Amino acid sequence: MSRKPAVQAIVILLLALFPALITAFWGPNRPNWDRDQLAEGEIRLTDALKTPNAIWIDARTKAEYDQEHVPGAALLNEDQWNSLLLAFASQWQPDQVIIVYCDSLQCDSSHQVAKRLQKELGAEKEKVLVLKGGWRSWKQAQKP
Amino acid sequence: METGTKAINFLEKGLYWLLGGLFLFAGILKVRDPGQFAVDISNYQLLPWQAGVATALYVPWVEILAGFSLIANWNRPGALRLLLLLMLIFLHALFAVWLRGLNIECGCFGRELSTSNYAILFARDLLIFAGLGWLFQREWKHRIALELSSGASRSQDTSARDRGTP
Amino acid sequence: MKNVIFWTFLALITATIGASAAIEWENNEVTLAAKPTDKSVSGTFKFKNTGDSPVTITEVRPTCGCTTTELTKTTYRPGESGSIVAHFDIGSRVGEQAKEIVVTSDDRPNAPKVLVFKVIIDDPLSVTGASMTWESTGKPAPQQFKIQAREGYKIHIADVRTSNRYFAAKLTTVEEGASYVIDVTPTTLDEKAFGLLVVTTDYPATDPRVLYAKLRIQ
Repeated sequence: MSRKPAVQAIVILLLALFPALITAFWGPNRPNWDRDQLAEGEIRLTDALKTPNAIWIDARTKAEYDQEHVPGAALLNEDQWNSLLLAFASQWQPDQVIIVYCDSLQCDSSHQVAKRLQKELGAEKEKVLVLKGGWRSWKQAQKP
Repeated sequence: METGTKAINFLEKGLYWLLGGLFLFAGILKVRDPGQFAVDISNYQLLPWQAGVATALYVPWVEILAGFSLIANWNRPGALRLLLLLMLIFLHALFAVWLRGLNIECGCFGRELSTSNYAILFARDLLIFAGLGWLFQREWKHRIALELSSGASRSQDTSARDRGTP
Repeated sequence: MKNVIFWTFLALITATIGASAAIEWENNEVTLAAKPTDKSVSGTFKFKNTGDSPVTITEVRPTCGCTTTELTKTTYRPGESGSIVAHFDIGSRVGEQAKEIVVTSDDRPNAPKVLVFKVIIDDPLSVTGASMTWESTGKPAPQQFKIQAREGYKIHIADVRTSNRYFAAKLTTVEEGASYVIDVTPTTLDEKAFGLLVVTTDYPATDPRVLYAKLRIQ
């Protein structure tokens, strides 16, 4: 009955292990062990490449775009939003999936561009996706 | 004098219930959505993702069991030490992100009751910590008194057991 | 005496909590208001070395290409103050923008400080009717797209067009420089079609705002 506190603590820790393991394998809302969990509205490169009829948008600066970009991607950033969007809108069809990327994991301009496409062009939320890892992940995938 | 001790004993009992309930509540909120809790942990940027996932799955259950222990008076001293340690880790993590100026959701009570005001979070955690600390100090004194009264033979016995464990 | 382990652990953790930074920030968030016609805005983040040894700022990294930073010098003696000036290019951005600037210094190389530069850019236009749908079995009745400039702004419509022949648009000026209505009518309901109403304004002059409405016959 009068177990030592340390033993008691270990008992609690061990007991907690059981429900934790159960929730880890069968629980609802269990987390994904895979590191690169997607935030809302994001897509992984492998899935993006498989998306049929997708339009790619480069949300980086014009200088970066001019240097190199995903083949076929259109430049659309908030430095020259209106004129760039006008060019993009003329070729856009609402059933197409738009994939937006910026530099890397840290940048947020792709998210901003995705938001504005939904708000101003009325693009559907499910059809505007941000490329996880951005340009760097694409560049990485090109390496042999 | 007698009524004073009574009041303190009453307070002690009440505090066990209150803090136990608090951890039980916090644990249950988080157990319902460990996925969200894992994301909240990763926002602290202190642990690698997998470690965060393990924490998200495990720690809420420790909180629930320890909270239950405080209320039910089952393995209570052990639960008390466990929760003190847990609070220290929470405070430490909170302090670290506060210093770094990250703007994050605490995740302490799941998503229903979330705030990212560090001063409030820190004060709340300190308050909980203080409550646990007081109970711990009471329990500690009580234990020493018990050991003294139960005589030398038993205490020798336990210290022998101590040395025996690796 | 297992409690010795417990207390050692406790002391260790408390010690790490006690370790604090030498650089103290006067402000880690700056919020500024801007107009769409502004080219850029600048904010200042002030700090002071409150430690006993010199501190060097090793990296200042904005998380947006639209933000640039300026740091006059990198090493600060104890007690010395300094500041980071951040410039935000407005470009064609509207609404609230929160950009982070990550500052690393050698006193805490693993715990960079995150500064937040918030710029709130006036959105001078509000629109209604940005999505219009007609049923192919219904009537080709006109639908309205309304544009309203906020008080204090004079905005004119430079051009109105639809992206294809299935839709026709007609502009009506309600109040010059402030309020406009565009009636959109499908030319035929015989086919399913998709189009855009494209309205070009004259504001801001550098990159005039273009407004869109989605048009659909289904």
